[in-house]
Amino acid sequence: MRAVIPLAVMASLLASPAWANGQSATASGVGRAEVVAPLVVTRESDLDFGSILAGTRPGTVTISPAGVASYGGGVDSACAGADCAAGHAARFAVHGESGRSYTIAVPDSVIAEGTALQAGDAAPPLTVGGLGVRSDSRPSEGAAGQLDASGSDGFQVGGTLVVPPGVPAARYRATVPVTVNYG
Amino acid sequence: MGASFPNRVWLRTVLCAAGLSACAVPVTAWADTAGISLSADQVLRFGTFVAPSTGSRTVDAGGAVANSGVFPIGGDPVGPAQFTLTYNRAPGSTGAVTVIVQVLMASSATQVQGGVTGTLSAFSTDLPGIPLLFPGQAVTFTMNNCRPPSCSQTFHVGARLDVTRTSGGATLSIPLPVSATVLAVL
Repeated sequence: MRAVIPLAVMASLLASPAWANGQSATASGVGRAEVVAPLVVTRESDLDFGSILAGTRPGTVTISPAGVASYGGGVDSACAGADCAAGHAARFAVHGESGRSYTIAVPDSVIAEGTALQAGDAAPPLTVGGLGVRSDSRPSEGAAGQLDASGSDGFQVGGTLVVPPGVPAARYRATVPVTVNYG
Repeated sequence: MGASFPNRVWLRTVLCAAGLSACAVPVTAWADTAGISLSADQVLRFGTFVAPSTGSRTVDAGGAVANSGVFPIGGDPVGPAQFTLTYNRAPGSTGAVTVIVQVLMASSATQVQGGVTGTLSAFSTDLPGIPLLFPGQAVTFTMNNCRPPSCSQTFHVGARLDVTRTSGGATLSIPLPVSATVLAVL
């Protein structure tokens, strides 16, 4: 019986052990990110409606995103010869991460402010509406494009200038904000 | 700390050699070791972002995101890394134990890929009582009430990714090695 008591104490110690184990495990996690070069957009030419003749009837001149000019109502082209500056769409070059798609945003319309060519005339502000976009890479998809293998693409912007009757001879200018984002 | 695990085996052996009642316990209960495992369940995802030059993106252990000088694009999932630490009790063991574990993250890593350099820092965790992890500096936490056959602790690790971009883009994949060591089983 004397021998049992120390053993019971030992057994008790073993039942609530505290021992250094030293076992280890390692896991290799990863931090992952896709870092993309920013888009660079360069204006190569402005949207130009060219020289037009405005009559007593309202009219419009439209430059399609593809660069085709058309005239309606009391408005016609003032160009009679080859040396006349014809209208054309705005053109932008886009550079960025190859293969990535992007979107283009333009406002629905902007206001063009005019400067009358003759003293005493007042040039009313004109509306440029129907702003549209056509990219080189995705010409049928509207305001979207995709950068090629070298990270390049381009797009054009067209619109419609609304001309009221009796507009005096004037030079008009408007700013069209264009926003391009990866999409 | 008390006797080491081998010492326990030795003690049992002595008791058995003495023909005492402790020999009734199967030897395998003590010869089979308990085990710890650590799995990386989920990568630390910073998503896709535009970096004009220098900037950082922080994804903390809770999944909160902060950007500085970078601009996220796309809908890529973003979130912290997830690890699961499992302590497997030795076969035949009974009752609950408390496991004290040391967690260590290796020194912070930098990756250079083309014109992009990325560095991880400011590591955060949701380990109980351990909001931050410092590379190379061990932290200790406790797994209470660990019952057979195993107990586990899942935790998340977030970090800040500093990016310097001089040209082009890059896919960064920066190692995030984490190790765990059992310090004691009580």
